[in-house]
Order: sequence, then structure tokens, then C-alpha cells
Amino acid sequence: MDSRTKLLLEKYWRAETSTAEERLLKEQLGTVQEASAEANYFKAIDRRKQQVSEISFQHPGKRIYYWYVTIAASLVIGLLVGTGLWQRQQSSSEYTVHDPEIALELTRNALLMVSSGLNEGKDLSTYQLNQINKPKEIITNKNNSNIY
Amino acid sequence: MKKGIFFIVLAFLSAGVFAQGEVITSYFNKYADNDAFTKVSVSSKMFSMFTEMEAGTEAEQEFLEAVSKLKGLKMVMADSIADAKALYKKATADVNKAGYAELMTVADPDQSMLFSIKENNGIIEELVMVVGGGNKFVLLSLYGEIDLKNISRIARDMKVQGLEDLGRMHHDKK
Amino acid sequence: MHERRFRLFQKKDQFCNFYHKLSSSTEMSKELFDTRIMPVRDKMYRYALSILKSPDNAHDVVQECLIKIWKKRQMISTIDNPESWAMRITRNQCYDWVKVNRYNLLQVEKTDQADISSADQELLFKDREAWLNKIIENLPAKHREVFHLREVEELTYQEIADILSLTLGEVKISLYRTREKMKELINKLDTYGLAN
Repeated sequence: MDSRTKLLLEKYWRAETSTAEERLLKEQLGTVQEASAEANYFKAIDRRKQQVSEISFQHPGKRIYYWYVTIAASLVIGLLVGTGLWQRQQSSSEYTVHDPEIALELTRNALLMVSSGLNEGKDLSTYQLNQINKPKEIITNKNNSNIY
Repeated sequence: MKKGIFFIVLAFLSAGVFAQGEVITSYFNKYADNDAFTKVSVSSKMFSMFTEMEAGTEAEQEFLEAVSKLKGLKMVMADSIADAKALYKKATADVNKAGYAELMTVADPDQSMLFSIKENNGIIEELVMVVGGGNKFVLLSLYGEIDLKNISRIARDMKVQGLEDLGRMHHDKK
Repeated sequence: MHERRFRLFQKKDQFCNFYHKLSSSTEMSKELFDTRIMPVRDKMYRYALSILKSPDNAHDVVQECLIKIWKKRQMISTIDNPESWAMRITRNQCYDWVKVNRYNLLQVEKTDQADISSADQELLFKDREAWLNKIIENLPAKHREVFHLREVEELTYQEIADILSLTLGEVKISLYRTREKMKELINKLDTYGLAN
């Protein structure tokens, strides 16, 4: 073991080495054919690093909420509303937007879309009175009432 | 287990209220693993944060008013699917089947659009919009206390404000 | 009369821009998960293994962690160091798991020892790797975790402090003490010719 390594080792035992220095130390002692006790120590640590486990992960999507749906469905047959409620509880949370800025932007755009659509529909109906009767009825009715 | 029973009982008691958002939720699930569809949900917590904002312009004021009583927004969108029209047909059928009242339908060779609502005691609790055409599909559900007049005003004010504003929100590439 | 065409998306790019804004936020979360969290799953596994000592249980706990993190993936963009965050979640999940399953962390060792004959035990001590693992496993939980995170996962003192909710000073002292102990043991075994 050369003197530079020895110095580094002293630093290491005092817990004063940086991660870079430690990596250097491990390189020098852990992989080379050193026969010292310290070298064996670093080799053993290196072995620990080799532990891996095949952890595969598929973006889960449906898997989890199905469990709740099965329980609900089995408890009460044909309770559509119940499972409907469950689906809402479980699946929506995955798509919830957490960033307020993005949420605002999305909402703004969504309302603009809805709003444009509503306006277009109204304009169109006055334009093509004959073609679209039913919508016009509903729209003019709703416009006249003060419920909304 | 207990949670399940609790919710089912609750569902029994208030089936009408809790049947909110079932179509869009079923679409969330249907396309959960399909990346061609973007699914987004904005929660009531977010909406309550919006109400704490201040409005700069008139248009923003209109927007905040429209948003003030809203509780949630959910959307399923796709911009490159093969048969948007067919999907539109299916979605509108699903919406009608789920008991929403049709407000307006506009059919155009390129694009079709449906607005439907769910009402309770004279208040619109949910507004569903379906749009399909070209390669694009949108299914949107807005719920809370919906004021159609307020919402309609948003687009009109936007038009009045002119292209600059629209340029700000949607980068105008013209 | 000129036919009035209806267009919901007035401007050509309106829908596109809206859509891209929309999908970029959801795409971003998925991407962040794949690029920041997935790469550290082996680290998470080794860490869980150092706490639970059982490969199967460690595997299961890490799976649960990944699912938990996936569900919260929208938050990743708001976190400074997602890797440390993932390790912290792993740690919490391990200890929750211990509580729920009334898992005795010491139990695993006892049964191991009972099954090994004395001849094998000697062999065990001659094997430097097994020897080191035994020492590490016998360390008190906190010191063991600090040691593992530093030596095996090469995390900085700050990262270790964040994961374990310790101060920088506490991390350094813990590591110092553990290494001192290691040095002692190495010398002892060297004397007895066992470490070679």
C-alpha cells in the first residue's frame, strides 16, 4: 500500500473523507489484488453493493382500484352507483394536477373552450333557425329564465 | 372493507348527488393505460385557491366569477386518434344514457359538439362537453354550481379584448 | 348566403397549444418518475434490505414504495432531491411495515444462527464478507443505516441527514464511531489471522 493510500485511509477512519476520496480509496483497495485486512474490508463493502433485485414496475393504472370495485360489487349486486362512486374515488387521484399555475391555465382554457362553444351554438341557432330547432328552444328558454 | 360499506350506504342515500361525473370517470378508467389520451383532474381544493386570486382586467373578473362556485374539472383529450367522429358518437351516446339533459348539439362536417347538463333544483350541477372531429376528441366535465351566463361571457369578453390576449394564452403562430 | 362554418377551436393552434400544455404536465410527471425514481430502485432495495434483512420483504416494500410514489408523481417536480425523497419514503415504508407486521428485526438473525452448525460457523467467520455483514447487521439501527447509506450508496452527509432526519453533525459522529469500530475489528481479526 503506497503512502498516499495510507494517508487517505487515515482520513477515512476519522470520517473526514469526501465521497470522491472514498471512491478513490475503494478503487485502490477494493478491486486491486491487495491482501491486507483493509483491502478485504473494502472488498466486502463492494460486495454489498452488488445486491440487486429484479424490481419491475408497470405504471399501475387499473390494478389497485379493481380491488375496491370487486369488494363493492360483491357486497351488493348490481349497485352501479356504488361502484361508480368507487371508481371516482380511486382513479381521479392519479390525474389530479398539483401545480396551481398549471391548474389555473387549464381551467382558463377549458372554460374558454366551453364558453366559445356555447356562444357559437347560440349564434348558429339564430342564423339557421330552421335547421336547429330544439337547441334554440332550450337556449332561448334558458336565456330568458333567471334561474341560472 | 368498512370504507366500502360506508360509501355504498352513502351512495344509496344520495344516489342523485353521487352519480356526478360517472361518464368522465368511466372514460378515465377506460383509457387509463392508453397514452394517446390525456387525462386531467382539477380538484375542489384548487378551485378554492382560485377564489383567493385578484382580478386585474375585466375579463379576469368575469373568469373568477364564473369559477367562484365551481368545484371540479375533469377532462379526457386526444389529439391524434384515428376515428374521432366515431368516438364522439359513442361518447355522446354514453352521456345521454347516463341521464344528462342535452343542452345543445352542433354538427358540422369537420367537428361536432355536444353540451349536456345535470340539474338539481334549478341549479346546474354538472356540465358535460363532448367535441369530436379531425383527429381530436375532448370530453370535459365541469361541476359545482354552474352559471351558464357567466361562462358564456368569458368568450365574448375575450373576443372584445382582442387578439393580444388570445396571443398571450395561446401562442398565436399566424 | 355564405355558409357559416362552426369552429370550436377558432385559432388553428388553439387546441394544439392547449393540448400540449395539458399533456406536458402529465407527461412531465411520468418522465420525472422514469428518469429520477426508477433508476434508484436498486438503491431503495439495498436500503430496505439493510433494514429488514429479508430479500423478499425488502422487495415487497420497495414495490409498495414505487406504487406510492407513482401516485404522487405530480409532486416530483416540486421536490429538490427526488432520490433522497424516494429513500426517505423507503425508510418510512420499512418501519411502517415492521409495525404492521409486528416484524421482529432481531428475529431473522436468531433463526439464522440456530440453523448453522459449529463447523459452518467457523467457516462463516473466515469468510470476510459474511463477517462484515454480521457486524453491520449487529449495529444499532441508526448507525447501521448511516453506514449503509454512506459506504454502499455513497450519499453525501447532507443527503443522509435528510433521509434520516438527523443533523450533519450527528451523521458525521455516527459514521466516525462506526468506522472506528470497524477499524478495531479489522485489527483484531488480523491479529487472529481470520480476516485473510
